Amino acid sequence: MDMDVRKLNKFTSCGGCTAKLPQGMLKDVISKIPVFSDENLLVGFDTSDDGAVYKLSDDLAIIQTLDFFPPMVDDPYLFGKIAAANALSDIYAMGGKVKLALNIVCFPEEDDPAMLGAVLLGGGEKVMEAGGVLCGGHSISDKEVKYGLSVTGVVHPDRIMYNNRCQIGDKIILTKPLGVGMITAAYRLGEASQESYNQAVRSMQTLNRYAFEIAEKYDIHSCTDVTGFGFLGHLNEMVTPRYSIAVDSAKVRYIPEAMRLAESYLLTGGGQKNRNFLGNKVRFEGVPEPLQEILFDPQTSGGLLISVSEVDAPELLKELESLELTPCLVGEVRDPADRNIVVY
Amino acid sequence: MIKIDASGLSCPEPLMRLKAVIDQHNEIELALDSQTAVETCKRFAESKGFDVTVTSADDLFTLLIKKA
Repeated sequence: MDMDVRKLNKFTSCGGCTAKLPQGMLKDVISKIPVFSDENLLVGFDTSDDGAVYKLSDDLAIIQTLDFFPPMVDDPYLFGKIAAANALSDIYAMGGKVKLALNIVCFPEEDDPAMLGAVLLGGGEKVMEAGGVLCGGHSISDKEVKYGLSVTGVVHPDRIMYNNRCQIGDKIILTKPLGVGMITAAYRLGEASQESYNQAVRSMQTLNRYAFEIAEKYDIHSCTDVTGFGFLGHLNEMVTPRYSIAVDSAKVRYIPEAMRLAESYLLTGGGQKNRNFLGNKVRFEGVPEPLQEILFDPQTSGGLLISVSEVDAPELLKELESLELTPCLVGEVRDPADRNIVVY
Repeated sequence: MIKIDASGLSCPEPLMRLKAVIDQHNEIELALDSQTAVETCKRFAESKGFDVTVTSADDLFTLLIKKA
């Protein structure tokens, strides 16, 4: 088919998950809205989890999630794929299967409908790949393009993957390389290579379905996905007063050019917001500053963070290595420490 | 002394504007409108051996960057 190849990025200054509102600001705002209590609401606002979970019966719960953002790539079809993969990811991060999806669209009405068609085609193909059904949507005219999905999934109530049920001794596995935030921002300004950009795009459009379908066969205790708050921001959401997480920074995989960008201070505003929010929750022990920046880098459609029993960790890692994107075993769950996360 | 207005630009573009001139000047005045750009540009300039003074008025920040 003929594809409109005009560029999307004229619309936006800050695309993908880097466009998220700061975590600190959100926590303040959410604390002021009414608290709902319903015994069937198993996961709501209170634990900053990936999606809401509502129990319908003893063997069935629905997962509801919504995600949309401005473009971080200039190809509308790729943008559709990435935005959809990102929205669908929350279902996997909660341990579920995708069932229904609705499009959320903001688009300038004076612009070429073929471009919007390409966005929706990319998104629809990802929903299909996820095994879900695209069943409607809502669109409004806006000066800036934004796209995403509201997704409904299902899960057995006993199989919900809460983000904060790690057990001391667990190993933490990350299923996609970091650095896509820095790479896509720098690429737009001609500062990152085509090869790195291609790696970032391939990573962002890969569904977390494949990693989760492997992981669920093992003794896993918690799961979340890495998006705008970065690796450390989402890892921090897994921590409770009962334990801390230690990260071996040498084990963290990232797109290689991200290190050069970080060394050159080519960072995103989102990464700095993440650093500011997490400042007193993370302790670095001899970790070079550029590597710290990679750990704070906001990810669009990032990988899963999986907390798996120490016994199962090697086998899970090995099986995940059969996938296109290379996983890494980045840390372990330990007794509580003076900080939520210690990176060495 | 050279003046650069990088207000209205999102990271990492302000840093790139600064980077383009920093090796040719001993004194730079840089206007920014985001706190995150201020932090990044300040750290970069300091890493290059400059002293940085930040002043702010309304939502605009001015970095005075001088060779130490």
